[in-house]
Amino acid sequence: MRTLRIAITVAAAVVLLVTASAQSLEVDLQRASQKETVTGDLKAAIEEYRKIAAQAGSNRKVAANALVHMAECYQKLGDAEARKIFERVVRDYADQKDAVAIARARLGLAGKGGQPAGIVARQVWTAPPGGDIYGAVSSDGRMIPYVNWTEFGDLFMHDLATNADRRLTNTASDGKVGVPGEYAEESSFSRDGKQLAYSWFKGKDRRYEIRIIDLQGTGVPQPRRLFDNEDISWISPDDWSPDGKWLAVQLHRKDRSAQIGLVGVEDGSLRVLKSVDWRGPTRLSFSSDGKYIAFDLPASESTEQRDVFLLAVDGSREIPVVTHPSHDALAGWSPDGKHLLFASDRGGSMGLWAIRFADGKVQGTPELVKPDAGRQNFMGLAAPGKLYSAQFHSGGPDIRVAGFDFAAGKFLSPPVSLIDTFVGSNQSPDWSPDGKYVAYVSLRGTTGSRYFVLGIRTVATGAVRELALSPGFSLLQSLRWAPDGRSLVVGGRDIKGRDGVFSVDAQTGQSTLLLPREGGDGPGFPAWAPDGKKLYFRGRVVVGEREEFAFFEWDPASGVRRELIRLPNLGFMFLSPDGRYIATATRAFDPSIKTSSVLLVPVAGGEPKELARVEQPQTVAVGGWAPDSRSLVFTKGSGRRPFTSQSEFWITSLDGQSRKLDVGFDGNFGPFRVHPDGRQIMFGVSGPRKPAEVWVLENFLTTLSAKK
Amino acid sequence: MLLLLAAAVTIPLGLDLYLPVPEDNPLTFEKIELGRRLFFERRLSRDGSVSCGSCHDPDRAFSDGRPVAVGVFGRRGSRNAPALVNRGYGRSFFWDGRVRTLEEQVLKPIQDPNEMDLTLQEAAARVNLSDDAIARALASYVRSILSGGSPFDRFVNGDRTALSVEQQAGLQLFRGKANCVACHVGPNFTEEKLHNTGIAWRDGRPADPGAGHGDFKTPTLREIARTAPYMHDGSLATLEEVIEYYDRGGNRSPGLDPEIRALHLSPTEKQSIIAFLRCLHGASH
Repeated sequence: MRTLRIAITVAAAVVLLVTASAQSLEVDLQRASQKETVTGDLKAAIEEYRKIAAQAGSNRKVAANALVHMAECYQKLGDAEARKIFERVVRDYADQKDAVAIARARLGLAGKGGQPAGIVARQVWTAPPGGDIYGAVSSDGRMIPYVNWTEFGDLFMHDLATNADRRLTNTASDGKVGVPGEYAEESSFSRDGKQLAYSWFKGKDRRYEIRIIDLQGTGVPQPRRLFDNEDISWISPDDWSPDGKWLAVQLHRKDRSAQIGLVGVEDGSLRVLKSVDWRGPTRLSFSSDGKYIAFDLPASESTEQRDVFLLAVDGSREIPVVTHPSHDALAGWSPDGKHLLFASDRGGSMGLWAIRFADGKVQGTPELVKPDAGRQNFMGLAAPGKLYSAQFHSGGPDIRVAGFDFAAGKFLSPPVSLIDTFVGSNQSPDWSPDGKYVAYVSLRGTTGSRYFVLGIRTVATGAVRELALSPGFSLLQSLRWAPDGRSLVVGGRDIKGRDGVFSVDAQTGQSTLLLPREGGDGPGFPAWAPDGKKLYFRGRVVVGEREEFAFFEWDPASGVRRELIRLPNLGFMFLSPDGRYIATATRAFDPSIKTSSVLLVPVAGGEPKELARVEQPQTVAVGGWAPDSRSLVFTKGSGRRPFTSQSEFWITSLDGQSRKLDVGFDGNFGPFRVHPDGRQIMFGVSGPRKPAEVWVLENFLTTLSAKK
Repeated sequence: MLLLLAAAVTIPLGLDLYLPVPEDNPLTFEKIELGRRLFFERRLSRDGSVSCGSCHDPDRAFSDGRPVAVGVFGRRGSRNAPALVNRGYGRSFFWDGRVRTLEEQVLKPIQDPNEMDLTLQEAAARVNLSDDAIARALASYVRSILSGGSPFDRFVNGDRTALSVEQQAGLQLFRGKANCVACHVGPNFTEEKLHNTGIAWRDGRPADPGAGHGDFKTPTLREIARTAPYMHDGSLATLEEVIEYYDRGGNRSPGLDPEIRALHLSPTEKQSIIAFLRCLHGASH
């Protein structure tokens, strides 16, 4: 028995070592990928991949992936070594089908400019500034619906043939001060292109409804309210059935459950087909015969990786189409209804894949259509075989730290990047109360799979410890340390769909809901009082037809909340280090508001004090408090972006004596945090956000047919 | 197009139209009827004294009103007989979630010495069916036990008069301050996951480890007013006791689910939640 125990122990140790080794290689692959795709240091990435391939040993999957990546780096450098490595993958790693598929595709295109023969990817449109694309392209590939936020969230459609834009709604009000916002979001054309269904947010009721408009004729169409249910907070009309009688919808109920269903176009009746993970599908797509709906879902609560399924519209069966350890997100059906297209990272990078479906069954194995499809938001397919997608360029966030002298109002040292991993993904930094750690959140993932991790950097060593958040978050608005340095407080929405204030354990990443949303939006910008006994946050209050914002104090011991101030255009909340005041600025991007002010709100009660005021088109925003709580920095900028390289920096004392600072920042940045020693500031930066682009991929179905 | 589901069962309002059914055990009228007869068949117990229906009484929403189940020869189990409504939507079975399919689950009580105490061979011989046929038929019958169409279902589907003002207040609390939806979510009021609610802890250790460390599966709340007593051990006799238990934050214990904390509910709020829970009765099939 003892011998057996030893054998088991040794075997277990070997298993642990092998597992740890595999995990280490995966981490190495991620690091190398960072060098390849984020920093663009291809030569360094090649060396990393070379080492990984050499160390992979019996882990042939990792070895093949590393070689494919290495070859791709060589290809980007125009080096003929690429072909040799791709050939090696095909020759020596025949058991690694995904890697071989990519290598084969790459060999077919080597020296031909980066695309397999016949397949064309081209940009067809750039949305106007403020334009966001949530909808699906029309089935003839001609019309693109979009929401224009500079027009308060109204819906438009762009005609790719004539390059003309048509306004489809004219009652949106997002960003108008004092009224609950209304705006359009997801939309879908009927197959004949004559109607458009769209979701419409009603700020007063804090929920979405579905409206339909007839696109025949000219001018702004009169909408028909098709579906509205007080129990459903969000609903998206993703697709029309081929016969035009049903909309495939995904929805969120107020109990935070998510469902897939059908809404009758004639009577607005809802048939719930399936309740699903709250994160829901990325999209729904009717099969060409109208018998099935395709969708994707996260494989489990602990992962963002998705699989693809079909659901019979009569509820009789569900068919797993793509279940694979990789991340697989639905793109849509081919126009002939014979293939399901999906994005997958099974080949090491996000590629476009296809699988045949016929006679109610999946046929064969997935085929690679295009490697390196990138991060895309699919907008549907159009005849004769065009896949549309929207691409967004957000100028990814980063964290900067600089020495700063509050007395002199000058930098002691220029801003430098603080975190050198996952550059372009890190945001919301905060120093721990003892100044020894920096916590931040890092946005990860790819198409249909976005999630946050918590990073904690040890200031003395620069070492970064990453924690998976559990439950994870789909929205994470802010991050502040608790006074005891053992947890962080964040505002946001977790993957169970709960809005509110959460406490996150700084050792484990375990998140716990402290304060759920009660009406209005979830509590925002939460911060603990220095003694940790009270929590302060901003909340939205809707009274009748009016919408306002308020700062609240919440006592977790008694559950009592107290309103400190309420205004229609109250901005972000900044609690002073001594906990006595909240600084804020009133916002003024609505033309009807003539001034913007910096306000000082006493936490103990009393009238707020105006510290600075500007008139339109200028606006002010608070940057942060000085460490002694006796002055604060604010900016003077314009419009919705008060923190840009064009902004002026000012510092004001609590009696309103202010002076301009001789400092400047590059690009867009956010409010800052002050180190407890008072000599460093830290803030998030981001590049300018570019308008959304629409791209189309053509001729890929021909490639699939040729493979059959 | 829409109402062609399985045909063997009617899905009531509020439940998913898609009822998961294994490809190799499709629902048929015949199998459901056979399963119903087997469900009440006392020959499937050692002493012929109990059937599945003894602990899963249709008049009590397929529970039995006792703290713990009582089997052959008066033997007592250690856990409360759970209500069997809507188990067709389940993803794991038994209080500790140890079984993944209904076909597997339905045979376990037959073999449990404290319940029916037969080997599968003995059971098969007594009813002249294979154990596989018994499993398929019983699973089919259990899948057909559905509860929906409650006042709550009518309310959330647009009939704003279906709930009283007090029940509506209870629904608000259920989803908000009381945080019940942290676990009791979705059409079946359960996310089918395991949690340590502290109920199992006695004298600093779990009296019943459940799935480990006192973890037990979230039960449905459908028909909850008819399935007292409550919790996995039947230790709480009334809904009032359940609400009081959660209001005080449960029994402090290692591994207590972080969702369980003091709620500070007022007496009126507690009554509202109970009034809401009592509206979760519907058309049972």
